[in-house]
Amino acid sequence: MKSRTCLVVILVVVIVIFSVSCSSDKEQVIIYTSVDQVFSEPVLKSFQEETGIEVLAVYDVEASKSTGLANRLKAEKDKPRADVYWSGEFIQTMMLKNEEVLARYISDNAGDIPLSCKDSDGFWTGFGGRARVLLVNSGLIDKQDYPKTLMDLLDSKYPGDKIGLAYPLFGTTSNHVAALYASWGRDATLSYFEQLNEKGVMVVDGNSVVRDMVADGRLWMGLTDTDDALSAIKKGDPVELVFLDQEVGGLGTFVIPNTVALIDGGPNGENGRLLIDYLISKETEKRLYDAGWFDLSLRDADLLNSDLIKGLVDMTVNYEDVFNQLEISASDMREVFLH
Amino acid sequence: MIPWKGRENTMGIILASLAGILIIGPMGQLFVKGILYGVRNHEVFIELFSERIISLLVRSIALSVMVGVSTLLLSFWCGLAIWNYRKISVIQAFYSLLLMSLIPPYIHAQSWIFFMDRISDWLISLGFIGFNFNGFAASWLVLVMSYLPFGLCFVLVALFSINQELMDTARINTGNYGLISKIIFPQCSQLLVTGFIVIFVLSLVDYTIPSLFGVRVYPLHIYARFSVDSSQGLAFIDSIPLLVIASMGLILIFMGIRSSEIDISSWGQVRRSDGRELPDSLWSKSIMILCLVILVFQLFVPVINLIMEVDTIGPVLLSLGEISRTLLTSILAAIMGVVLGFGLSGLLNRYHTLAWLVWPVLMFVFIMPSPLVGIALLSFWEGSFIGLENSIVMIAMAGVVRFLPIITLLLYLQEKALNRDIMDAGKLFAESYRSYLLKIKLPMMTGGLVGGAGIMFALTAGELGATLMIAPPGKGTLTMKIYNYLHYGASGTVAALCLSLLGIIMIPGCLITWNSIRKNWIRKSKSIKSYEE
Repeated sequence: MKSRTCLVVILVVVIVIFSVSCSSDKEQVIIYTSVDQVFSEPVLKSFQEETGIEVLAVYDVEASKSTGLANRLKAEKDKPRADVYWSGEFIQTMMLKNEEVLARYISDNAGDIPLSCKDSDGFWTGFGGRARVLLVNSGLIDKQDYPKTLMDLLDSKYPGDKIGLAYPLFGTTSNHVAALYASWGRDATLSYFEQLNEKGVMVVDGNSVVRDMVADGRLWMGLTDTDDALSAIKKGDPVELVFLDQEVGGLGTFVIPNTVALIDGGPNGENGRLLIDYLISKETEKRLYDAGWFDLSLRDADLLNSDLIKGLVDMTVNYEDVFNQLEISASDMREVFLH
Repeated sequence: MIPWKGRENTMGIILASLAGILIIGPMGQLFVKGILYGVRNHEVFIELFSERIISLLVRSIALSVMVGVSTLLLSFWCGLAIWNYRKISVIQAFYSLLLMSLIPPYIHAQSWIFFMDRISDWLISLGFIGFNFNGFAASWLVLVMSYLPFGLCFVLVALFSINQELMDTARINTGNYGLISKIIFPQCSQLLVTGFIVIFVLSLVDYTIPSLFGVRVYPLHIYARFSVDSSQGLAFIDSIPLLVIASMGLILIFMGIRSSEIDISSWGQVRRSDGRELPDSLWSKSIMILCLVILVFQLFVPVINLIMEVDTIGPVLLSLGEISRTLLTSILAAIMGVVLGFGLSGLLNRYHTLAWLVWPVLMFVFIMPSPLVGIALLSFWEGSFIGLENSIVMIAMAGVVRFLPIITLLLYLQEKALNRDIMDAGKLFAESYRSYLLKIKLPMMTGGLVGGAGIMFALTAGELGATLMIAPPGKGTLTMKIYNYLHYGASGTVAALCLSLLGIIMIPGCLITWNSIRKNWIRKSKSIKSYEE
């Protein structure tokens, strides 16, 4: 009797699982996105409501440390399941282009996006932006003592264990390092990070950890992204955002665009194009800006940008050059920080 | 000669083959990629012996040894307290405790950071110096708290297997210290060593907790390289040092198991006396109470922290899809894991030479970085005629592949410890294999099967790395959602979702506890009734 009960329970569970797994007959589009679910999900839901096309999303997580969806797309290359890839940065997208995972698609909505923010061959489009910034705890350090350049972080007046950065082996921090390699050159950048490491900077698990540690005073300051910084400001934490290297002739602040691309051979190519058009539209850009994901527009310096962002001097760097520096910069950073 | 012996072997071979397809297929593909990569790039092997790699390995090993030793010591005294003062049936009690304590490491990490920061603030308010909860010490503490349930499991199995006649005889002539040092500890040592090695391997392959506290360990190097190179072959080569270390641990386990004498004949029996095994002495009572307090903290710090952070249950209501998927996949993984583990462990107990082939494969799977396991599964099953890659069955399979080694080891140890006289008598007198299985073997292994199912359920519910790779679009799990919101900093939402995940994980423990209470109530009613009659 008991064994029969167990068998019935097992059968019911299996039937439920397989019925849950059945696919729907509705029009669908499948998107893989590394943009935080809290920002991307509402946008995708709106697209679904407006078009009637069901959006099935896979969201990446920061804990996967960039080993996530880009690797999954490569693994699925011979039988792609996704139609669109929306990334919070550009390097993974460029890697996917090199791996021939992407399809060429130039949206009509991309006409006013600068050429430097789009792939020259039409495989991906950049839109919206986040910047690499220094978040400072305003209760622990006076305004006149805020660092003004990246090099200032090496100053002895800032204790090493009070400065934080995410592991420069993954994510936007590794992108930032690669950008510095492209701007300063390998020797100068390597020397800079070696000095930072010798100083004893706190290397932590991610930009959000940097934000939290600065906000609660365990760190005086830390390098992070604008979306993390602004979320702390919005919460009312005692922090301020500093754009480094803004002096005349200075390096400028590294801006990281979101990128969106069509997957080659995806099951719903036409719906994928519609979704891309929707994502890079001005309305969606404004929406993501208001939500706090984007902090500046690539289209027009004044279109969306707050007083905080207006007049921002960004780093003049070619994204292709940044991408080409990734492997060597990542290898050097492993030598420096994984020891 | 048992007429149906062939049927027993056939069943074992079928189940082992299913386990083999599940594991060897994807992992074999990975293994081949690794070999091919190594053949083309010899220099990667030389790099494994570089100073930097060795220093990372040494740090990983040091942290893992500290975690293993501390966890076992703490578990030993906690287990001693539970064993010493128990009044109810053993198996139900410790399985309930175990399953109610299997909280995912990331929840521990968040909770202990919050708790320690409050302690630091309180000290500062009293005029003392505060502290930063970071670095090696913080990693060690969170890992110990995360793996304490595993340690307790091994300790309780060991303690309840102690020969009771030996204890009763020794108690006449020796005091507390003598009992512990000359009887209890030697009798438990084999299983304690096994428990240490399991916890050592679990913490050796983990990078998430150490990286959270700024401790640079070897698995982080594997991830860092994989995130840039995306080469499965290179990731396999990078994993070789961990595989070698884990295999050495496995050899120690089996050398210990071969010579161990585990008696479970007293399991499930309510003690005739008041249940006290050790004479009451101040020092043993003090240590046991202290360790029990730590155990209580292990459970309540995360739970209370999460309760305090919750500001709305709205996120839970919006996540019913993720919650139901997590529940379903965890149940399926538990069923699959236990069935396959039962078949594998039976085969390994009957054919010892197979162990040299099977255990290294299982250990290889166990130490593989979880995203790599996910990608290997994806590559292997995509395009299958069953269309599995689009179903949530893949999520259950990821859990089974990752955690089958633990369940197989648990069932292997348990089956090894079964009373051989009863087993042999059962085989002789059972009219069929089915009869032997349902009336003798499965009832005797109930504890291990239930415990194994519960462990698989809990571990699958909290699994992230492999799940992220293979979860079908639009069918994410609760753990994936928690991590997403964790990064954003929505602590109230994260707390609400974590509590719902804890609730899911505690379901097996609550069921077992309820069943235990129900059985005791029935037993008491029957004994009162028979007394009245």
